[in-house]
Amino acid sequence: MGEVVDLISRCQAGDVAAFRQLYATHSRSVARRLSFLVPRADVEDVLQEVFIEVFKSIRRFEGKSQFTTWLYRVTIHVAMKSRRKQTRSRVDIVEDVPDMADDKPAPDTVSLSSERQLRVEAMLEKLAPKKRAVLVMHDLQGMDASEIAQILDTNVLTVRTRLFYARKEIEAMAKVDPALSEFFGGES
Amino acid sequence: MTHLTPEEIEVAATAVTPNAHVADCAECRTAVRDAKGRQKLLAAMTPYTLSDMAFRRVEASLMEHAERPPSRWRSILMFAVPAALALVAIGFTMLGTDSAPSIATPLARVSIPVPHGAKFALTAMQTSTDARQKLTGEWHPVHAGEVIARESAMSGSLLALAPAEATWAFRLQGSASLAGEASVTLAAGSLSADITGETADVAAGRLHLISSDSAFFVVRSAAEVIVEVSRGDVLVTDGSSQRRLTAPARMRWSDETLVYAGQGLAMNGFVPATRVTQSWSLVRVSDNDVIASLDGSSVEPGLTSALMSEGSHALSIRRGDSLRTLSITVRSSQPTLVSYDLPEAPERNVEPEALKRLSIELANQTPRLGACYEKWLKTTSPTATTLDLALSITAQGKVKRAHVEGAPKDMPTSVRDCLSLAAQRLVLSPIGVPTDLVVPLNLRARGR
Repeated sequence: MGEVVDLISRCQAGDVAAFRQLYATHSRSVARRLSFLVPRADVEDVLQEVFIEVFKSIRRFEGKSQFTTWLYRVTIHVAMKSRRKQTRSRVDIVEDVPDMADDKPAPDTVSLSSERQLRVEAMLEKLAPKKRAVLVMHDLQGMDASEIAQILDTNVLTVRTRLFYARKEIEAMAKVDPALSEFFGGES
Repeated sequence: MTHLTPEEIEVAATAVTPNAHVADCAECRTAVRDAKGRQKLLAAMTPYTLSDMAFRRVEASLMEHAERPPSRWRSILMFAVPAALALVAIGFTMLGTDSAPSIATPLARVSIPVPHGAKFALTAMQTSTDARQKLTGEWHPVHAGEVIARESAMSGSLLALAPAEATWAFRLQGSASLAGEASVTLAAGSLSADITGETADVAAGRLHLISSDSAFFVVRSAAEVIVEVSRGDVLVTDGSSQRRLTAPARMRWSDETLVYAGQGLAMNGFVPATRVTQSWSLVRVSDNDVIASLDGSSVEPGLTSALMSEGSHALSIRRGDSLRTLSITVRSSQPTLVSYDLPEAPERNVEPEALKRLSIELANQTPRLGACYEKWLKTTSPTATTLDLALSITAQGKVKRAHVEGAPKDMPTSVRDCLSLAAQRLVLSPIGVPTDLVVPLNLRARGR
């Protein structure tokens, strides 16, 4: 505990070596938190944004909460702010797509096929940032509502409300997806 | 009938034995079935994270960011700029020079003696506005009365010295070196000022102004601004408010807040700051280029050179639409001009060989996309269609972005999204330059 306090104090004093240590200690857990919160392709960029924000804001960390709580709060806020950028010009390549392989296997309770996982990730991207954050933290990262409320600086009721609507939206999207509808066709 | 709450539905979806209420409630059965499906779906998701290389890349980038001086200058500018502009106006109004800014501040003219022995020759300024006098890129002493602008070997964006016989005044943006009797080197950081003595040190940063010893403006520690008035009246503009100070008086801001405004001077109250000992060199880009960013920070538009400390720097240079980032190492121990040529920006088109290889690789891998649309296509008529897959590919062959264009209107969004995400997983060989491609796809359902 004392080591953490010391490390944070050194970061607050502008010690770059301490900041490097902070990154080494927490970068992987922050990256895990970003899983599903931002598109795969953006995780690296957002991770960098998170720690830049930490670097800029750490002087404001007063120790009223655990450092990890504060850090994840920064993580979630940066993730929610991140937006995908799409710019391109056009270069044509002509290519036909040959016939397809066999149908996909039945729903798997252990892990999804990569295609199905992609589809679910795409659905998560369609959720509003706040709903997505709550759903990911609760249903995919296993956090409880009070912990989420603390990180998002809101109340538990709001978290549960967002979670409810996020779940409904995911269910609605998945049920009409040809590759995922099987998950909803079983017994009640 | 009272239905299950959302929490009860979640519990029922995981329960081994059916909830008694659910057996009699069709609506609740549906809700439980949906929850069960969703729970299974989400539980099967595999988290993703970064490679060790990516973590190291981020770390390297962060360390560059962390080792730069804090950017509190930006916040200080919010009030320093108006005050500085006002003081520039004061200086030029008093001096009657035609290089005065357009802001005319009505002030009582004061007679100010030239500080004894002060020539205030300046060196190492770089500018970006219209030039009255152009220098040739050498570190050249600049004397009172000169206005230095773009392509001069200076580190500030504008420098204007007032005629020495009246007083001296200058405004600069960027960093600077002072030479002569006030010999100091300005850099990121702060320095003290004592206008009554033999020195005239100015903190480096974004914008500073010194306007005679009647109105003296100093920025220190990136957090504090003090305006001292030793003679006459000075109008100080701070945001939207103005205040006329009659000497002897001073104003002091700290952390963007006015903390003192009153009579009396305390010039000896300035704490001499640490002298910057780091060496600086001016790096200038080619005539056709401008600096887009330095060490990751944006710079003002049109900048063609920058004063850099010893060591490695990341310099992003824009030539037309091309943007290149170079890693340069400044080793000079004395202020000297460092010129270099920007390597030619690469053509945006992929080399024919790389394009051919890319085409083959795409042909080999596009069947992987079929899982996204096959089921949908089998239910539609006609059973074949076309669309465009727009890809942004990095020089290393990684598909950074992908999205679908020109898809049939009845194609579900989930199919489009699946295609986009699946395309991001295509494995392609390095192509040398970042490229954006549009791949027309001809979709056909298998066996139809």
